[in-house]
Amino acid sequence: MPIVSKDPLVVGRVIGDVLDPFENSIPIRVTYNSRDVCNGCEFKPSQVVHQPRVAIGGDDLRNLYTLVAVNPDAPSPSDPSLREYLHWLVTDIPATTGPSFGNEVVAYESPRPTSGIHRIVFVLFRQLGRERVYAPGWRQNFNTREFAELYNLGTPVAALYFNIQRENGSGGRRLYS
Amino acid sequence: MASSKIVTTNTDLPRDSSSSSSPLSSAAATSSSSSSYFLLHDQNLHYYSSSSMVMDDLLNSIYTTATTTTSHPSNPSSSPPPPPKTVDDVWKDMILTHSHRDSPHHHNHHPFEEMTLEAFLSKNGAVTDDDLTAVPSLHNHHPVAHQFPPVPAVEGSSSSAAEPFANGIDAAVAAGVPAPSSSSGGGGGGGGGGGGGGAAAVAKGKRRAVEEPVDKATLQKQRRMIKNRESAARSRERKQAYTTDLESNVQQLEIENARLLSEEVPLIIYILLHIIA
Repeated sequence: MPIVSKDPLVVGRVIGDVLDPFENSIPIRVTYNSRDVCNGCEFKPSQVVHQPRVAIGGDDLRNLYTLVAVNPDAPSPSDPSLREYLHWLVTDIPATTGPSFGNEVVAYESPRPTSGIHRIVFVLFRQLGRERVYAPGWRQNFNTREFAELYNLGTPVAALYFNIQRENGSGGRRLYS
Repeated sequence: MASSKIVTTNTDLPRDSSSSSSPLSSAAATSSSSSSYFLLHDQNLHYYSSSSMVMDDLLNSIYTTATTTTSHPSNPSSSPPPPPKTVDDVWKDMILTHSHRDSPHHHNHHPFEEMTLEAFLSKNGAVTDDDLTAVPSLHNHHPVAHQFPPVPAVEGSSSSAAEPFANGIDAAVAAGVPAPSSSSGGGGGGGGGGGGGGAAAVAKGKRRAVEEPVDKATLQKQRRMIKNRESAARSRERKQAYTTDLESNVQQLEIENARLLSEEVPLIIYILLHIIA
């Protein structure tokens, strides 16, 4: 099947599984231990234990943004019954700053996939105003589209994803997990 | 009292025997209707054909005790001749299969019980081919209609990666034996055919038992192959996504580099001029 689009988000099926097509308007930079995240690059669980530094662009400090990090391949990409697993949710991030200036609604949870190669997707939304966001009761089966709908976040302004698998690789059979 | 007891336990029966009728007629009626109900029931007939005799014996025994002491609250399950457990099991299965017809979302609870039951029965030759095809196709498919699934649907289900093991086997069984479409009406015919086809059932059951492992292995291989294909497709996607991302990054960096270089030269000249002059 020829893939016409050159957007890595489309090719990696992030647009489709998690998001709808959007226009990227705000630059976002995610850094784990001074290694930048680029679309589709691979990280190990040991490298993503602590929350990354996130720098968002934009001009006006008055614009507030919401950052969501989800795993659409939980617990396994061939059977994503827990899609999407919410890893991080920060709201009220002023433009040009980072999540440390925002309101952490759901704390960062380090991704630890047990089977297969998972994608971790960071999505940035622009907020219309300062709004009270309620944390979901559980992390699994989060729906980014519905969340955006619920809080009137509109379409995303930026998205980024990376791949992650078990520390020792996903190949072979494991008798004891 | 005894007759009313019989009535309450026989709630599934199509005719409701009123407690006002005499114990004699009601007991006889219920026993006869219960046995006919067994025969008309289109699932797992012949399992119950043997136990319907048990039922009749049971009911007769209750009836005899009822005539002697009408006020004796004899609990049917505690009556001696057949072991009470069998009756309860029979009733449980009956109710299960009855609710099975009514509510399709009970499907998920049954497949394993009924599959192993059928496997056990087919090995013992107690069940004919018709019954074997009748039941697996029923809980093999989620649609409410108790029709037989068309073969493409069976293949479709077996090709889906997340299909549970039991359904896959049943699909093979159902696909292997041509599914007669007269299942719902096949109750009466099955009853007649069951007795006559007993001997044939033994041979066919044994043959199927031999064929099943082969089908199991093939199905497993198929499933594994499909999963592998999906995994390979995902892997290719990943690779391509990474490559396109790298390419776009490279492009952007080249542009910026060119821009910076082009700006660098005038700057150097400007500085030199200021140093010299």
